[in-house]
Amino acid sequence: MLFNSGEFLIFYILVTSLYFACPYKFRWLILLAASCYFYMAFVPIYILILGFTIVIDYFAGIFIERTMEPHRRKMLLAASIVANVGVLAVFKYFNFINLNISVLLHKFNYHNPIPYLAILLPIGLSFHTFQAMSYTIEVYRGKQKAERHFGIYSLYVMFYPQLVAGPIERPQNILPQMHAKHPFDYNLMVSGLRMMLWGFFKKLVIADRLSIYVNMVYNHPKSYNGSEIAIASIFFAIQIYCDFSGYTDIAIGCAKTMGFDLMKNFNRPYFAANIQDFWRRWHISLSTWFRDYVYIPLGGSRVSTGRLFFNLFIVFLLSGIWHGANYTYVIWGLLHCLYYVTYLIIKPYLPKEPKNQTAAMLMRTAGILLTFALVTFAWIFFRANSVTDAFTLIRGLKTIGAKPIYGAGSSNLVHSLIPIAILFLVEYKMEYLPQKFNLASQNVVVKWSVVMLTVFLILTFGVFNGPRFIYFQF
Amino acid sequence: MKKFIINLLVFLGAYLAVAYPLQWVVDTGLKKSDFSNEYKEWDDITKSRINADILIQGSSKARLQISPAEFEQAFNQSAYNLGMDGQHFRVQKWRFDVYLKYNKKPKYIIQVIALHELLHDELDYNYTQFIPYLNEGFIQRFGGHGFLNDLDFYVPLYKYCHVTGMIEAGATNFFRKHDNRHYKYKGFRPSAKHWTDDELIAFKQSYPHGMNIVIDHTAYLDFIDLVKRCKKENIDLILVCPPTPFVLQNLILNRDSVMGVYKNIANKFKLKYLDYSRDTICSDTAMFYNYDHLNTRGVAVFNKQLINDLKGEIR
Repeated sequence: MLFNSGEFLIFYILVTSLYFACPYKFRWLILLAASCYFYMAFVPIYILILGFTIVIDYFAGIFIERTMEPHRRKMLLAASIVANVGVLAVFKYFNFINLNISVLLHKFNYHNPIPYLAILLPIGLSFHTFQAMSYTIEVYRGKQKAERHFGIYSLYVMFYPQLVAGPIERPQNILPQMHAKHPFDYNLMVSGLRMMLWGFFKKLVIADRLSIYVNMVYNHPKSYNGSEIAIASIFFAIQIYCDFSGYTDIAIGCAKTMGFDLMKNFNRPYFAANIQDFWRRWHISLSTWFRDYVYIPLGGSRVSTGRLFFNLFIVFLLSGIWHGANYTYVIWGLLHCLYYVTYLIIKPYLPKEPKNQTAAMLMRTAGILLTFALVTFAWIFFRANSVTDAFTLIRGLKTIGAKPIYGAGSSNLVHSLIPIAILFLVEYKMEYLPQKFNLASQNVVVKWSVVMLTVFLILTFGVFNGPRFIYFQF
Repeated sequence: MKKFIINLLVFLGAYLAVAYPLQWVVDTGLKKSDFSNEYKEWDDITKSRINADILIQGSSKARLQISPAEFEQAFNQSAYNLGMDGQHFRVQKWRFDVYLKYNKKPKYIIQVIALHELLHDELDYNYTQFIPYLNEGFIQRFGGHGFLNDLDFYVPLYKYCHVTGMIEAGATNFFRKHDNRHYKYKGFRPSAKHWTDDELIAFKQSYPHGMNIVIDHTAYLDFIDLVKRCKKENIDLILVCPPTPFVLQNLILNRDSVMGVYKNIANKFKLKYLDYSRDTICSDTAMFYNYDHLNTRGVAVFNKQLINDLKGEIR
């Protein structure tokens, strides 16, 4: 079930109404049943995969907690991680690995006898697998008590707002909330709904509109000139942000209306003044996951320079692979690693922030533009259908001065640019003027007018038959 | 929770109070616009401006090929071309029902029949023409809504999201006072283009072994219904099969049996049936601009012939 569907609207109203109508002790059941239904709306049989990892991790958590012997604890954790990574390996990476084996064997005139699996990738597999793993790791580290309530633990993995595309939660944040009573709260309900509305605006009005042009260019990389490729790439940078952060806003808002507080996943990433800053703002729940469970265990930054770069290399490589079984994602991850390492090397030589306000602003703007350009360049690999296509697009950028022929129509261009301008203004206000024009503190006429205008814009300028969320495939 | 529910209901009420007038503005503007090339005809129909004695019906083969002006001149009676671009018979008949709701019944109907007339129909093609009329009620009565969904009918303003630029066209045309859509005369617009092979080549690529036409049973029953209704209402129904290039006819594998269906209906109900699909004009591609439509040169020849053949029929 997609958030941007009429079906979800009905589902959400029904589930939320039922949730508040039910006594507290049954609410977890309502949410769990709703989450099962939500997940089964994609490929019903895949609920068994979720069930498998839930059972494994539930018992692993309890046994890890009960066991005092370090070696046994480690073995139990390893078993849980192998089970989770194993599911990922089979469903997400098996065919990719098999293809690489075939290519390698072919070079030596051998035939690969291993058949390919004809399976669809379970939706949001990487998200709920990572969330499940963070539970057993935290129990192992003694930072989280093992959850005894099987239903609540299942809900921790399956909570429908964040089941298929995050935020990837930590047990310390979400499990206590699953046990807590959430009485109806007017302010939470209203701010949650507003957040959902803003998420729908980003997804339907911006991301899906931009996808029309982006798909046109990226699906026919040889047919467009440099300017068109550059426009499509900038559009994709905005599309993926609006698509993913739009989903996250809907997820966080949806949970908020029921009294749950999910972690922040985006913090206006395109206002980042350098690549390090970008990674503090982009897909925060995943980058902190890698920080907590890969980077720091590898030694983090308190190691030699060479080791630090190696640690970063591993993290970005894994981050790329996490997105999908394709070399385009690997290159995307490694490009970011290159940016990051380069930034760490040149950081001590960069000029200090000037005291003059105008000069500081200019320096910051230059940093933002440069970071955006680098990130956008890396997105070319992320979005391209293949590595070959990505290089075709990059070669095409040589004619960047050519006059663009906007194939999707000038009306579409206007429909794309106006919402982008709205997004920019809103994010600029949140970044630099957080105290000014706070919607919640305005009078009812202003508040309702803004909400109504957003509804009008979504209904009239939204693309309702657009693609599903990009991150669902991960 | 009570406060939330009350506020929500008041907000919905306020939304509807703003959205419906806005929708009316956009709809009114669209009806005056040429955003869809059918708005002029829909506007004429729903404002009872047609009331023609001779009604020409069909798909684009009617719209582009039969001139109401020449009929008016030849028979001294009012005529109007209701041909619908890209629509098959079910939608044509449905528009005729709407026509009768707002206009007096015609004395004659020239029903253009072609090989594809009785194919299955949905409101998919050129559906922007229906958007400003969704609240008229008649669209709901059509069997399938095709591209349109329930939200289009019941959520104000939502229906414009399907086509970029529609809302702007409606809003800007709302203030237009004069109708400057002069590119058609009473629904008729011939094409001056010259023959090219492109579309025929594309057709051959789509159907390399030829095409078999499957007649939709509902469309067939609707056709019979129109015939019976015309009989009952004393409307003279004339079936006209216009010229079609032989290069296309040769690609339709069951051409004879499809035409046989029309012939049988004409015989059974004693209708005037004029078939130009075997005329010599069909061998001259210079009379056509593509595999399906005559150009202005072909239209002149065909209309002269048709009017001549109808002289004893239309008085």
